[in-house]
Amino acid sequence: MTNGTPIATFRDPAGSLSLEGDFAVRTIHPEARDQVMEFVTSSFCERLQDRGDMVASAIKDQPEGLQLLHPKVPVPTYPWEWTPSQWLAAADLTLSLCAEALDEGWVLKDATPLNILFVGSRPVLVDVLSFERWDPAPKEYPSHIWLAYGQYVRTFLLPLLMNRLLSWPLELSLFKRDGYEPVELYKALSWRQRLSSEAFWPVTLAARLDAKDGEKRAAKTAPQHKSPDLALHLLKRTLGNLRKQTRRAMPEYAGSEWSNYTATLTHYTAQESTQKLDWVRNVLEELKPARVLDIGANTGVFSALAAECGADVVALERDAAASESLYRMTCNSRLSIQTIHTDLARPTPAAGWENHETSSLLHRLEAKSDMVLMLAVIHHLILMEQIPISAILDLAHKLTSRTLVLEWVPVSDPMYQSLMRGRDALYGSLSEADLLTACEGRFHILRRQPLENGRILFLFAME
Amino acid sequence: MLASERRAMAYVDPGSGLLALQSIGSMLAAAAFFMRRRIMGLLNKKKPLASAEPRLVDSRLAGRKEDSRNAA
Repeated sequence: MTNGTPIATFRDPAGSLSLEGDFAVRTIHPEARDQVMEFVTSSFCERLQDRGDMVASAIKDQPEGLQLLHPKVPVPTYPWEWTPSQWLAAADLTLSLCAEALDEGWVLKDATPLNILFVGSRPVLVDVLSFERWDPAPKEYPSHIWLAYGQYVRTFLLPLLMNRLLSWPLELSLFKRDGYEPVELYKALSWRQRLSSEAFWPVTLAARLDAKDGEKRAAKTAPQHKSPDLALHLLKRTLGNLRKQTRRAMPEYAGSEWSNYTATLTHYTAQESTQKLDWVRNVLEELKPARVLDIGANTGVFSALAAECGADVVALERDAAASESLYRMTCNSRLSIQTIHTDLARPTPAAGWENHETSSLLHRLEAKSDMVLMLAVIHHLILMEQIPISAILDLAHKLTSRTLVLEWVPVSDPMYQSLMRGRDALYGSLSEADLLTACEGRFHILRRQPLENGRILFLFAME
Repeated sequence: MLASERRAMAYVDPGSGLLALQSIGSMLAAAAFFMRRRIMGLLNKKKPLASAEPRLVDSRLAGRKEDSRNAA
């Protein structure tokens, strides 16, 4: 598939990261060697790694340079594929690690969601080079200033805030590597929003200070250092205030079109729903897939079923409220489910410099799963996205390495009828035979289970 | 070359308005810190000497006391 492995990172002056084989290899530049060695051999670093808050590192100290080898995260996700609660979890981790670091004489030099990856439902800091020694008397700025404050506000706080106030999708972060500037947001807000408790400090006041050219004033002023104790106290207050502001910026999600889908099934009776659950559970228990990709996971009923059967699950859901509900479920249940908020019909493209800094979603998912679940999703792809059945099966063939579980929804189904919206001439005659024709050369049937509501469950194996 | 450019200030953009914003926040927090300390100081003055916190004792004096105890 297209848009593959990202190129080596190049922004951090302390080192760069590239993906090689089973590892993410971080090459440390000679100038940063001593400090990085001091950090990675510290008890603080070891504690973070033992707790799972930071990625594990193996040190490879060679004459030609220092390298850190990190295990690869099987399916990395980017902030533009996260739900608001994933953003909050990543933000909380960033701020709490920085506060903990200050107690140990370290500080985070950057604070962006791009430094965080999710392993299941858990955020993990993957940028080991983010830590540097805290300087109680820096030459260029006062000691109570956290240099990453601006980046945190631009990349964590303001995207969440604009999602809350103006429903700007968090997916827009794909186009805003360094987040939003307060000045550009100030123009977009109404007067009432500018004066709201959530926006006044990080948008209105920041934009007014920006307009007065705060940089020049700051540059003219020689840094005045507080005592180390007071500087630490102020830095921790800053982190605490950011935490409160971030929580206030969380969107208030109500139920959306699909978020109550599984709870309000009008096309499934309780008996039919149990029949479907039992059949899928039997398949999972018999085949015991190690990795499952659940496409159109909704609130995660079948993802949870797969995870309970021992699989590491990647759950894709395009509806914002449903994926938010799904992520919260994974946090509460502690099941191995990784939530990705995305639309499979318009998957995340590769992005960044020359389209090589972050990889496309399909590249990250390709052949990573033993089993793909496509339950009650094919009619959405056919009718809403107008994707041909053969193309859907072709994609499923690329995503799975063994089996596909698919729920066929017939034309007579009420949901199919409501989505068809008068396009009977085009879609009114699709049948199971069309599905089976599309499978030729790709899949063969292992099991077929008609349900009482007319839908059919298939277990396919790859040809 | 990248490495030699390290830390003109930071490699991430601290912003201008956001830098000033943080300074204002810190000034407010510092003012609150000193006010609280002053109020605590006033309250402590009213308390009997026995209840004074150990950290208010001159550390050099404390050292001498310790030395004398050790000598004994």
